Order: sequence, then structure tokens, then C-alpha cells
Amino acid sequence: MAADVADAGALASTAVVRTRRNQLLKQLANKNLIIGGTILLILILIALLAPWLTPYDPLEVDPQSALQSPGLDHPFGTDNFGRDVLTRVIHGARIDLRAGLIAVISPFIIGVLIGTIAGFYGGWADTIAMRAVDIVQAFPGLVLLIFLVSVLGPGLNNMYIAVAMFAWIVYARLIRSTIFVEKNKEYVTAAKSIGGSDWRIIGKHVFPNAVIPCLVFAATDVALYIGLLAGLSYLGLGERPPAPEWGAMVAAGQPFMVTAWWISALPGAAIVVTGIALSLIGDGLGDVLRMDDR
Amino acid sequence: MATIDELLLKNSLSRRDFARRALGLALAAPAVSALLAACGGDDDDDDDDDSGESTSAESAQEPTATVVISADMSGAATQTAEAEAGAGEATEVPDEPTPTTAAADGEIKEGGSASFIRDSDADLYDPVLNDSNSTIWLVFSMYQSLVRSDRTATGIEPAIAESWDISDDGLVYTFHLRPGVKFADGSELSTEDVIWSLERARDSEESPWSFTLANAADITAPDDSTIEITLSAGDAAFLAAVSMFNSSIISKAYVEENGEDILKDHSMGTGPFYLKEWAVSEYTLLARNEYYWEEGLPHLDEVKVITVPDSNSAILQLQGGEVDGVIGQISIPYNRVAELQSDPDINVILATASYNYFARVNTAFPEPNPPFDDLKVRQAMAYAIDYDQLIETVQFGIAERSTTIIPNGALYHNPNIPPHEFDLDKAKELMAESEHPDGGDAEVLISAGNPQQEALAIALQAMWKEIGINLIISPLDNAVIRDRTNAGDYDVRLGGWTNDMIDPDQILGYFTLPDASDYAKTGYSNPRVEELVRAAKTELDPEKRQEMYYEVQEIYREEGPLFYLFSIPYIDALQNYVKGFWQHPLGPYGFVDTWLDK
Amino acid sequence: MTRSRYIIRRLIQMIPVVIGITVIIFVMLRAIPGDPADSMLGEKSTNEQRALMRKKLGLDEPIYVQYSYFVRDLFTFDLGDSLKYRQPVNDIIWDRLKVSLTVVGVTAFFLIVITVPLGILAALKKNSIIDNAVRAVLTVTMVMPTFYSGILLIIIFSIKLDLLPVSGYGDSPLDHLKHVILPSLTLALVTAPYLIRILRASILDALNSDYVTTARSKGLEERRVISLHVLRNALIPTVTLFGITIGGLMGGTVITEKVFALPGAGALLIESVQFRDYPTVQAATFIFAIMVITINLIVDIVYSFLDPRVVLS
Repeated sequence: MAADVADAGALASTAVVRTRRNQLLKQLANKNLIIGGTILLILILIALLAPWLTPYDPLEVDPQSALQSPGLDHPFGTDNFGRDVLTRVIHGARIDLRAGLIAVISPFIIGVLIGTIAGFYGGWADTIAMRAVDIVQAFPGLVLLIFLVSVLGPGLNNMYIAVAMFAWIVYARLIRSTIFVEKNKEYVTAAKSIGGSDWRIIGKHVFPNAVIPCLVFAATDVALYIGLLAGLSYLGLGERPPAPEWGAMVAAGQPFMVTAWWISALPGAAIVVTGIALSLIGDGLGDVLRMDDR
Repeated sequence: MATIDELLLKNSLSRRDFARRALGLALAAPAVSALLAACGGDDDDDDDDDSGESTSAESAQEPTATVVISADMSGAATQTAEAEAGAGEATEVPDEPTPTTAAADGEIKEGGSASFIRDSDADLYDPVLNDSNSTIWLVFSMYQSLVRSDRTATGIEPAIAESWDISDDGLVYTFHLRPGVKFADGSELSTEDVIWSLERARDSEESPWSFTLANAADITAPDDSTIEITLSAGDAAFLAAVSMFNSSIISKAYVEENGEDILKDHSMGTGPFYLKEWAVSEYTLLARNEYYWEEGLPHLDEVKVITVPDSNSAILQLQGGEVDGVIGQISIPYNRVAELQSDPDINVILATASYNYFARVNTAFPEPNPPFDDLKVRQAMAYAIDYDQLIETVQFGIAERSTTIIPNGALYHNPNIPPHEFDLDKAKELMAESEHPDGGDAEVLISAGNPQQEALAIALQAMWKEIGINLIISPLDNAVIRDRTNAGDYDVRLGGWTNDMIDPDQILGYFTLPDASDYAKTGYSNPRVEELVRAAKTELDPEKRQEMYYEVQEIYREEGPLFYLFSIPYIDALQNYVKGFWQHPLGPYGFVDTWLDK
Repeated sequence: MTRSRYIIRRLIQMIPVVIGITVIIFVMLRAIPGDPADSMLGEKSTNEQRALMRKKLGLDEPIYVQYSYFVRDLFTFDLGDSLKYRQPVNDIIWDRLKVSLTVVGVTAFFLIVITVPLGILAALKKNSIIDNAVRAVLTVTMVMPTFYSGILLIIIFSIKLDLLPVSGYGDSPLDHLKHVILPSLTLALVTAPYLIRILRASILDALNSDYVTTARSKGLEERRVISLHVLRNALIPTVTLFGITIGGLMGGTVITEKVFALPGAGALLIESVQFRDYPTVQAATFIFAIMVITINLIVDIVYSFLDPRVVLS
């Protein structure tokens, strides 16, 4: 009997894997993924080609042409220092895309690892992990950030560290709760009952299903972290001025938002476009991995 | 470049006001000879003085006979030609109360409640313990001292003391108390209150300000209406110290009954208002002191000062008519001033202020800090600053040039020092002559989240780049900045200075002496400057003091660790119907004369 | 394990968490450059004055001794005086907490009202115009900084429509509620997008799971399938995130508070850190910690109702 079940299980899972492979190419043609990917690609190209795209220097102060509204010379207008806003937005792509990506990697890895272990083993592993989550979650993140900036000096590194220390809990809790659900499903109990090893079960059955929401989340989180920089700049905890970082531009333009909207709104638009691209990619990834069109 | 004067002329001050202000300054001249032994003007003068003097365009207020402790005519110099014009009229000092704003505006409307927004709240209202401008500027509405500084912050006038005598050696001050002065609870002020308050201010270990009264060795009351203060050493700034907020006279009985802690969030002084309610970080509600001694004042029943940190929100509320005004030091960003000035419903006051903006370099604290220990490098940096451009880009024209360490228009400000030139060629030349022709990195510590400092740092970075100084901008919180300053771990700092006392002894003591602040942690010391500042503190002849302070300013400007960026007015934007509001050059608000024409 | 035993165990587990947080904060505060004596006495004070003040505040004692005082104060429920306001920390925090709790409560309401219908709609009409529109709008509100969106809301609702007050907290309970609507909406707009996204993804996931297929094949009515099986499963991650979001709002709303001039706990925490007001920061973190952990506990209990298979361990 046991052997029959095992065979059936093995058959079923190879079948699934095979279908996945076959579907993968088809799935990559997912509309969300294509649109999101294209926008992101364009943004990356812009970032790479930044110095050659406009005739201006993002840091050059030119008081004579301060506060010009968008026009032919300056399609995005100029800021209070006469710097070309478009140039700064273009150069900002270099800082912000990189910052968003760097920021998301460590919390994702930490969170997925801790969440998986906690969710699958439960018991003490779970208790310890969840108390760690409690500590982090109940700890005021801004205080840590102020501490880091005070000790290490201003810059994006503080944001990376703070995000790594705080954002993992989202992934950890998500993956843990999904694994709780998954591991009680029939296919897992079946695999367990035939003595499959823990890591094999995790890797083959539980993990792929549980990690989907995390991936979807991670893609969107890149945009979130880029957005976070604006808030940090408002509090003076962001990138060192005068770097053309989008969030810093939005924050610095806030006192002008009624009189010279373009200083803050257009870098803000850049953040929004990036955010849309990334969330499309996130949703697309979700579609593909979930294979819900099968 | 628009100077304050031009802006004032264009926008909110009438020429008559100018003449009046100039007149006040000019009055200093005839008063000189009498000044040390001087006693205060009489009650009439004071009533006159407080009856609605305002910087708003409508008011046409005559000056009062102010007792001036200095011969410093120079304060008027910044007021350009009008000052001289006014001086001629000054010989006739009106003795009687003069018509007030009422003449121009119809009858003063009594009562009502006014609400004003500002960007930050007080932290505690004990006059002795507080240390922030946002607190101090309101404390003056609740408390009074024996004397007070006049509206131009160049002279001392009577307050609780209606007159005073000074002994020939300058060591004994005798104050004659005004009869019938009452606290906000109706109890009569006595000499006991005065002695208790001043001794508390002098002896408090927690007060950052106890040094101002350190010389007051003995405070006694020979009779029920006289206070005699014997100084341990001659102190030319003593009257100015007595006029400060920490010398506020507090009701001793009130504190004895309720404990000293009560002063943190209650008031019991003789000021025109008392602290009725304080919702921390939300609002401060002042209510009329029914027993206030100046007849007919204050006009308002209540003043509510609301904290709104975001300037966009504050201005929206002003434009939407939800509040009567936005006041304070930095409540209105400079880029919004022109827009508000063009609004016919809003009256923008650019009040003359002792608000001087510097860049401070660390030359040698705690040890030489190359390249800034090199005078040539500092001079090159000074020449490389395009001051007019700073005023345009950072201040949006809302500032005038600053020339010396003593704020424009303040007591003993040296008017003979011209504004620093911007000359890039000369800057490069000086740099080449220096020991560090290649320049170097300079870290500037700015207050995190302060848009003005950030803008200034960015502008300076671009200017100093031209001479090879690479400015690295570090936004940090103020506690870190203080800590790093105390450790000498900085190259450049930006910051404004507002005088807390009218006498320059405070600012010069802070920057040029090792005693309290270690030369303001700049590492720049100069024996001649030190000698002069110390001598001026005890010099009782105002003319000699002036000479000394003029020289100090020259040396310090030429060799010192400061770059004088600009001098900024206080910006108060009020609904047109708000009348009589003024702001003192040291910052306190003139709610006492404010009324609502609606 | 019964629920009540579980809850008791969790409450006991709170103790090391709270100790952990207070120790970290305690050490961190003292490691940041700058101390309260500097802030209290200002830059114009002398070294001697500051040294005297440090002594008076007990800052010259070893850090473990200082911590023991803090623990002692915790047991007496008297957390000392704020160094900035020089008033009892308890009073100050309680005043601010009332504001923050009102904001968090109203935000939670907005979050539920926005998230649940939009999440379900977006999932059921997957890839339709509605779905795409919802997601596009949400992306905008998600990345828009609150210091920007807040001002926009003020312009629309307070200035143009004149419906709600611009800022402040008001005087009466009803007034308080009116004053926190815009700040809460600002916060909900920025946090709802994650919730909607995760809800949508989870619903889609659940729709494709085996048990739904089974349920469908059994001939269950589609609406019943959705409400009974899909939503119940899909809500689990959403509730997790909801808990995290609400917990995060407890002390993390400083910018919104600044924009709307709300005297909330977030601003208090940050201004206290900046002043190095040790007692206030310590007390505030302690109280936030307890509240956040309590919210987590509630979330875990809600789990157990949503999905009985989740073992309370």
C-alpha cells in the first residue's frame, strides 16, 4: 500500500514539474510581466545612459535659471538652484533603482529563511523566531535609523541596514503562515508518511508554494523602499545632499509644491512609474509561479 | 539685491514708520550724557509706548522717551537715509501720550480672541529653565522684569521698576518699584517677589542662563518699594541682563503654595497675559491678565498660539482664514513670502531682527584643523562666497547683508564695516598664496530636515568648489551636531544667531572668550580681542565701550572664524484685520498691543 | 492546547521580548553621540554646568545601575520626568497615546473598508480594467510620500470642499474624530496597497488550490465556495500583514503627525530621541512594545479562528 501511495505521489509531482516546464515559456509571455519588464528595462537603460541623455549636469547650480516652469529648454523645469529637473530625475534613476534592489535582497533572504524554518518545524524554532519578530516589530525603526545616521554618518547604507533588520519580518511571517497551511495539505502529509526528508519536502513541495506571496511582495517592496527614501529625506535621514535621489527631490520640493509643483511632482512621477513597473512584474511573477492559467 | 529696507518700503512699512523707528534710534544721542545715572521715563511715556506701536503699514506711532544705555547711533545706519532725516525731528520729544493707531484705524476694538500659528512649540514655561526661542518669545507675554528693552533693542526702559539709579562706581543699582503692580491672580507685587525671583535665576544649577546675574552679589530691599543690587564687579551689561526673561519676576507666594514645578506649565507673572492652558505640541492659550498695570492693555482677551510644523499646512490655514496669523522665526518659508505679500487680505510684516546668519569654521579646536587654520584659506573662502546670490537663491531676497558678528541694527554694531566683497579672482589668488593651494575636503554639519540649511550648504558647496574646497554635506540631528562640535569633530557649521540680550556682551563672550564656550569651539583666539571684550564688559563709559566693540568687530571680521552670510528679518503674516502686532528684534511677540479690527 | 492556556503562555513569552527591547533601546540611546545634559542646557552652557547636570541625572553611573533604576521605576509605575518637558513621562505619553490610538483606530477602519472590497474585486476580475485601474491607483498612493499626499488631501477636503479641519486635534471627542479623518486616510492610502495586493494574490492562489477545485467539483455554489473556502484561506496572510501594519503605525506616523500638526506619540518618540530625553524614549518604547506584541497576539488568535488547522503551539 505504502509503495503505491509513494508511486502515485512521485508520479503526480513529476507530472506537475513537467507541466511547469512546458508552461514556463508560455507564462513568461504574461501581459503584466511584459509591460512591467519593458518599463523597467527602459528605466535601467535611462539609468545607464544618464550622462549622455541631457546636456545638463545634475549638480550644477545655476541661479540665473532658477525656478523655471517646464518648457523647451527644461522639459521638467528647473529647481530653486536652477538645476534641470529632468537631468536630476534621469540621474536619480541610477541611485534609486540600485538602492531599491540592494535594499530588498537581504530582508528577503533573511525573512524567507527564518520564516521557512519557523513554519516547517514549529515548536521551539517557531517560538524563538516569532519572539525575534516581536522584538523587531515592536522596536521603533526610526530610532534605529537615527542611531545609525548618528554613528555612521548620513547616506543610503543606513537605510540598507535598517531595512535589512526590519523588513525581513514581513517575509518571515508571510512564509510561515503559508507554510502552516501548506504543510497540513494532503500532499505533504503523504510525502511525510512515506518518510521523505524534511528538507526535501520543504524544497520540493512546501517552499515553492509558500514563497510565491513573498516574491510578489518583494517586487513591490523595491518600489516601497524607493518611496521610503522620500520620507527619510523629509526627516533628514536620507541620502547625503545634493545627490539627485528621487525621494530627496520630492522632499526638498515640498515647500514649493504649491508654487513650483514640478520640483517635487516630476521626481515623484518617476517613483510612481517605477512602482507601477515593479508591481506589474510582481503580479506577473505571481501569475507565472502560481500557474493559475493552467 | 533687495535689502530689508527696500522690502519694507515696498511691502509693509510706510515711510512714516521708518521715520518713527529712526527717531527712536536717534533719541539715543541726547540721552547719552544722562544714561548711566538715568532713571526711567514716567508712566505717561510708558503708556504711550505701549499703545499700539506696530510695524504694520497703518500705524503711525510716535517714539517714546527711552532711556538708552548707549551712545550707539550706528544702529540707525542700516536704516539708510531715513535715519538721518528722522534725527532732525528727534530734538522734540513728545511728553504726552500721542494718538495711537486708533487715529488711523478708528477706535481700537477691545476683546476677542486671536489665534496664531507657528512651527514649533515651547518645551517648558519656567522663565529660568527654558532655553528655546519658541519658549522665550512667549514668556515675555506672561512675565516682566524690573526693566525691559525698548522696541528697537538698543535701549532699556522701565517696566516693574519705574526708575533706577546707579552709583558712581557702577556697583550699586537701586530700582524704584512701580506702585500697584499686580500678578495675574490680583496679588500685589512686593520686594520679596523680586528678591526671590532674581536669586532663583542667579542660583539655579539647571538654568543655562544663571551666568547673566552672576555679578549680582547682594540683592536687598531697603524699603517696601526699593530693590538694591550690589554687584561684585562692574558690569556694563547688567541692566540688559536684568531685562532678560530669566530675570522675570515671579510670584513667590504662588510658588510656595504650589511648588516650583508648577512654573513648568503655569505662569504667575505681571505680564499682560497669563498661561491659561498648554496642550503640549498642540497649542498655548494665553488669557488676559485683568490686573495688568499698563492702562488699557492688553486689548485681546485671549491669544492662542498653535503649533503647526508643516509650512504648507500653516499657509493653507492662513489663506483659508482659519487663523489670524502665522508668526515665528521660520514658520513661513522664504519662497512663500512674495506670494503672501501679493495677497490683498494678508499683511506681511518683515520685522527687524537680531537674526544673524553665519557659517562657522573650525580653525583649531581642539587642535589645528588644516586647511582652515590658515588665514589665507579662510579669506579665500570669504571672497568666494557670492553673498548676493545666496540671498537670492536661499533667502528669495528676504535678507540683507550681514557685516559683523553683532547683528545689524543691534547695540554697538559697527556700521563702518562694509559688506564683504565677492571676488573669485582674489579668492583664487589668496588660495594660491596659502599653504594649501589645492584646498581640501570640508564637512559641513547641518540640522537634519532643515530646508534652509540644506539649501545654504548646496549653494556654498557650488561656490567653494571654485577654489578647491570640497564641501561634504552631513545632515545630522542637533544633539549629534552639538556633540561633534564639543569634540571639535567638524569643519563647517551653519547657523543663525538671535540675541537673547540687547548687549553684545553675550554674543562676544560666547565667540571670543574661552570662559564658557571655549571660543565657541572654533579654535580661533585673539589676545587683543579677548582683552577688549573683557575690558568692555566692565567699561561704564558707553563711548569707550563702543570704541572697543568696533575694534573687536573689525579684527574678528578680518581674521575670525565666521563668514557673515546674511541678516534675516522675522516674518509674520497676518490677516489684514490684525492690528498692532509687533515683534521685538530679540524675538518676543507684541501681543500686548494687538487687537482685531473685525 | 486550549486557547486560554495558549494565551497565558504567550503572555509569559512577552517578558523576554520586552526585556530585549528595553535593553537594546537603553544601550543604543547611550551610544548615540550627544546626551540630555547638552540638550537641556544648550550650546551656550559651560562644560562644568553640563557635567553637573549629568551627575544630577545619574548619567555618570554604570549603565547596568541606570538600567536597574529603570526596571525599578517600571515596577512602581512611575517612569520619572521627561527631561525635555520636565513633567511626568506617564502624563505626557498618555496624552500623546490617546491621539495615536484614535488615529490608528480610524486608520484600521479605513484599511478594512478599502482593502476587503477592492482586494476581492481585483482578484475576481483579474486582469480586467477594474483590476488594472485599482492596481495603478494604488501604486500611486503607495509610493506617494505622506508629506505630499497629506497636503493634497488638505487642499481637497479642507480648503476646496471645506469639509474637514486642516490640522490639530480639536477639543471634543467628536472634534477629535473629525481631526483624525484626513491623517488616517493619508495613512490608509499608503498602507492599503500592500494589503490589497496580498489579499488579491492570496485569493487567486486559493481559487486555484485543490480544495477549491474539490469544492467546485462537489457542485458547491460559486459564492459559497468563495466565502467559505477562498476568503477564509486568503485572509490568513492578509491578517498577518494587517497586524504588522497596525503595529507599525503605533510609533511610525511621525511624518503624518507633522503634516497634520497632530500631537501624537510618533512625533513624541522622535523628538525625544532627538533631545536625548532618555526617560521619555525608554517609556515610550516600552509602551509601544507592549501594544505591538498584544496586537500580534490578537492576530495569532484570529488565525486560529480563521483556520482551525493552524495549531496553536
